[in-house]
Amino acid sequence: MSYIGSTPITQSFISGTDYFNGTGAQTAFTLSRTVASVNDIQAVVNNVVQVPNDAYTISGTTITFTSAPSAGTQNVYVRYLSTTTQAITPSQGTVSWNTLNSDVQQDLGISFKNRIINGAMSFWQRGTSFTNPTVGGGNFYTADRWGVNRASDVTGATVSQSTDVPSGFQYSLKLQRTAGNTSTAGLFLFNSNETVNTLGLAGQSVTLSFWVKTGANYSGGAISVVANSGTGTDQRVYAYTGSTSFINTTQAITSTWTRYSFTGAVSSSATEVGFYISWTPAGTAGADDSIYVTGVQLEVGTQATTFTTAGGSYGAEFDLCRRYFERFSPSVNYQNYALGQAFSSTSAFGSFFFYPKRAAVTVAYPAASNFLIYDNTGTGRVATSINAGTLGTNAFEWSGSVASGLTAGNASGLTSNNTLNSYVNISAEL
Amino acid sequence: MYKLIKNRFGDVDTIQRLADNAFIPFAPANTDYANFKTAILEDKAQLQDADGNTMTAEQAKDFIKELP
Repeated sequence: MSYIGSTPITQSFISGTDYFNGTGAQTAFTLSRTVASVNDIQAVVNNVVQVPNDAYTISGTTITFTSAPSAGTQNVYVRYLSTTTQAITPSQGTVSWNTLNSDVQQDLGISFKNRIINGAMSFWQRGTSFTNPTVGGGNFYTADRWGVNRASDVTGATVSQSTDVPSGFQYSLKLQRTAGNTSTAGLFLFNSNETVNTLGLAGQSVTLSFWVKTGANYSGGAISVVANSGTGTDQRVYAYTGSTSFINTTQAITSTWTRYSFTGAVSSSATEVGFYISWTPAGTAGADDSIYVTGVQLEVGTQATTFTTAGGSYGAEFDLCRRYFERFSPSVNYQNYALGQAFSSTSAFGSFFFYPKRAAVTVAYPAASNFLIYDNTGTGRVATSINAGTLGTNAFEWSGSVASGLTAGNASGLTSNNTLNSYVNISAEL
Repeated sequence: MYKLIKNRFGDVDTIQRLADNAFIPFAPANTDYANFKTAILEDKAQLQDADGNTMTAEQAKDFIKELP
């Protein structure tokens, strides 16, 4: 029989013998064990070993002799020879997911089972704490792929990376109402799937699961869990065209990490799928009026299976994140970002390459003075302006100005100044 | 507030979002670009030309209509 799993290293076999009294008329006797084959036993009558198949046959727990053994006391006995004394074949459709142990579940995990990128809150390229994120501003995204706001974009929310996690995770996302805040506007945590990653979900039953707990001074009640589908392309979940909820419920939560799951049927016309978790605070916020979330998974099927990251490994998950956003931050001062050429005494340009994005990118820099433009003499000059143009999906053209000192036609380069706050944000987020 | 940006060949091919110094392409799949168009059409933001002069709302909307 074929089976799933490794070849057993150790086996246990308990020897045994069944004794019967012959009657001279009885041909069938009932064994104490189920036997798969005539070769798995040795049948003896009056101390004469019987020939399998010729002298007897086996069916389950019944041995049938072709001739009735003569009368006698325990003159018929059957010895068990094989470790394979039973053959158990599960009926079709009777082995459920929960019947398999977690190791097997993990082994059977299909690629991209979890449609939520950065569901384990592992990557925080934009930073590890955020104040007053809004839908309308440029600060909607916090942890990679996770957008946050308060209703009507009111202030009084913070998001931070937390090491308060359930077993098996490194980070959680803490969504907090700022201590002392009195607004009762809801706090929302959004995740919007790109349309190409939604393919295969339309018309399917899907299950959303995550771990969540409350902060010490949580003022809200049950959280809201809403999963929507839309018929547009690459929109944010709160702005879907043809928005339809396939999960819309509430869930009471506690201060203990608990995994919850929710199942719904995605519309057959869905081209985008996303969800949000929200909670509504009350009164004045205490020191830790918050929820913590991690281990978010959205998968096809009617039950939550073992959590896996969308990418399957740390590096692959990071690559998935970088399809949407990438931050170049210097690890040391004066780090070189891109090469180019001066085209006057005060200006230079060059190419800046990056990980391929889902769409043409938005590029943002901090103050120009955080950068230097070098020439071929090795002299760095503080930039007075930095621009980005010809914005593509894997490169853009940087250009910058300095007060003086460059030589047209000479090689040039863009570097960070003597500050680590000289990042380049490259975004193609939804 | 947004501003049009010329490339080194003198062509306008980028929008600058002045609030956070972000450079945005004329690309329909770019969410910031979509938000820019919506903001101008709904009179929620102003647009400067490449020389820094603020366009009237009508001028900005006429410009938007010519974009992809």
